[in-house]
Amino acid sequence: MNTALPVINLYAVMPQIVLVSAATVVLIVGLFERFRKGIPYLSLLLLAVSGVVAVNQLGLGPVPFSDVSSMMVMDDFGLVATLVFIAGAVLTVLISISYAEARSIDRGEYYALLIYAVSGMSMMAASTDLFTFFLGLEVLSISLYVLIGFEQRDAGSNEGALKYFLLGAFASGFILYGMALLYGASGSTEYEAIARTLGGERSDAVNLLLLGGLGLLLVGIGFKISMVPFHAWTPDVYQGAPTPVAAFLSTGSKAAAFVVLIRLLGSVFPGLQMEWIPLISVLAVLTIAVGNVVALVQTNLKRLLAYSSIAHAGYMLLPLMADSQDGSASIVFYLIVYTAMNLGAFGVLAVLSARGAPCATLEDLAGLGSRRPLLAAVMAVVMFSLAGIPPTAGFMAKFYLFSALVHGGYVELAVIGLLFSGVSLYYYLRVVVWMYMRPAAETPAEAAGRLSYTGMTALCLSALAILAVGVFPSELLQLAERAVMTLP
Amino acid sequence: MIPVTYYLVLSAVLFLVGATGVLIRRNAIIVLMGIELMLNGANLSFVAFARQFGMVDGHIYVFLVITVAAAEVAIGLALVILLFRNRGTVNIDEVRSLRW
Repeated sequence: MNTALPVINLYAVMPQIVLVSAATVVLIVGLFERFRKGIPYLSLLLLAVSGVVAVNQLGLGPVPFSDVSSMMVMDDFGLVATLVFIAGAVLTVLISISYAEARSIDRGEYYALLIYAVSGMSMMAASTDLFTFFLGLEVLSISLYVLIGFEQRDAGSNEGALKYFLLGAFASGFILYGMALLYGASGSTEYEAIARTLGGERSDAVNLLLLGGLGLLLVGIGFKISMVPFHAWTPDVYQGAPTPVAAFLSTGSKAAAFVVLIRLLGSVFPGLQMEWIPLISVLAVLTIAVGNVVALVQTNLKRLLAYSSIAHAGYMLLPLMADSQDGSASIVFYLIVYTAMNLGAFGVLAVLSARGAPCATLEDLAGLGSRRPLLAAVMAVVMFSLAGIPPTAGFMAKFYLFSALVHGGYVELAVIGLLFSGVSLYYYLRVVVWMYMRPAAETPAEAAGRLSYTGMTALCLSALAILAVGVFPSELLQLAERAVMTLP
Repeated sequence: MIPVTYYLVLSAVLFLVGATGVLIRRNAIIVLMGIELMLNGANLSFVAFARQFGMVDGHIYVFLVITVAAAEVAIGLALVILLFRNRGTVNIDEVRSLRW
């Protein structure tokens, strides 16, 4: 009997290998108390190294991980997504430093778990098989469960972690059972095999397994991107989590789930159009509506941003229906911009909360414009961008998204999206009004004194990026288009 | 030989029992047990299908899922213990301070 060993191409998973090693190095160095202050900088360095590795592989075309099965692939799509995750993690580390020190959660594990989470997201982005997707998702989720509950003595952090854990594990159960059904229908968990089964002749039994499996999978992924009706955890978890972790959670983990959705639908969509379009259009519109309407009455800023992130997830679901390169590219563009915007918004809160009482409500922002002009300016840019006002990146992102939708022939959905986007102006601009037009309270929540340099650097970087992309969007759009070109 | 359908029905029942447990029980530890049942229902399906197709990959997946589930339970129990220390309860209905 002649058994050939499969050819394993380690080069194809190099970014993931580097990220996992980086996290492990941080974890080990973090054991030594004397390196405590250096850990975040070591994390930044190692994240930069992984970023360089990923950049070097850009444009080398699709390279499968192994010749016998395609569990993972190295292509521009996965690499661009990985770079976005790394950039998000770098900003998160920068805004974490002062916050973590002030709350004495600046232990090595915090930064190690952050990098493990990035490696999980990167695995999800590179996976072409449901099982590698599941493993990446679990690496990400388990790191996040711990990160959310990292403030051990804080009851809110504890409660947020438990809620996210119970619902996250529940959703994992749905994803796994959906995978089992799809495996039964197509004899494999590869996206391509599932697409083949969907495209071929389907008996009733296979049809039942396929649709049941994909439905369960959608429930699980819907939970991760906080799609209505699986969104109820979002505000509680964002409110309870340490603010930098909430920033990371609202950008990275959501972006990773969207990347998987784009890749998965890119293969299975042609065989699924009939069932998919009516379902997802209703869910996307509901998500946009619930997010925007409930955000109107929020006074806690983290809850407001949570509902705003639900609404943004709804916008990003819309172009999935168009099933065009334009549509996918507009989602990638939106994800990149959204990462910068949301990290900026949560970052302002994190930097303010690092000194004195946590900055949580609109009242805490009163008079910020005169008290902290630079910080207020960053927050204003971010809010304008989230609302989609030119010349910010948020405007360009919405513009590409809705134009892809109109080109795909979904004019009425684009109109609904734009109307709700108009509603969102109210709550985003209310933040700006509180900052500039309301007098400060007698004793501001945050103490006087200078703010953390690293946090301010991260915030200024993201605000500048938002403005730069708003004025010169073509570079980033080309990158997004190049990324989706490699998809089947 | 027992037909594969029997295993699939059993796995669906296990999954549903687990999901029901998560939805109706309020003790965090019992909710965790429900989640484990759901995962094991899915595992049983994987094994049954792999046996039917005569392939090994389904069996391998089950081993990986068991590992993942163990890691998840470790974190889950740690969180429940922290909750108990902070609040003195493991009833998830009493854990609702995060509201507007």
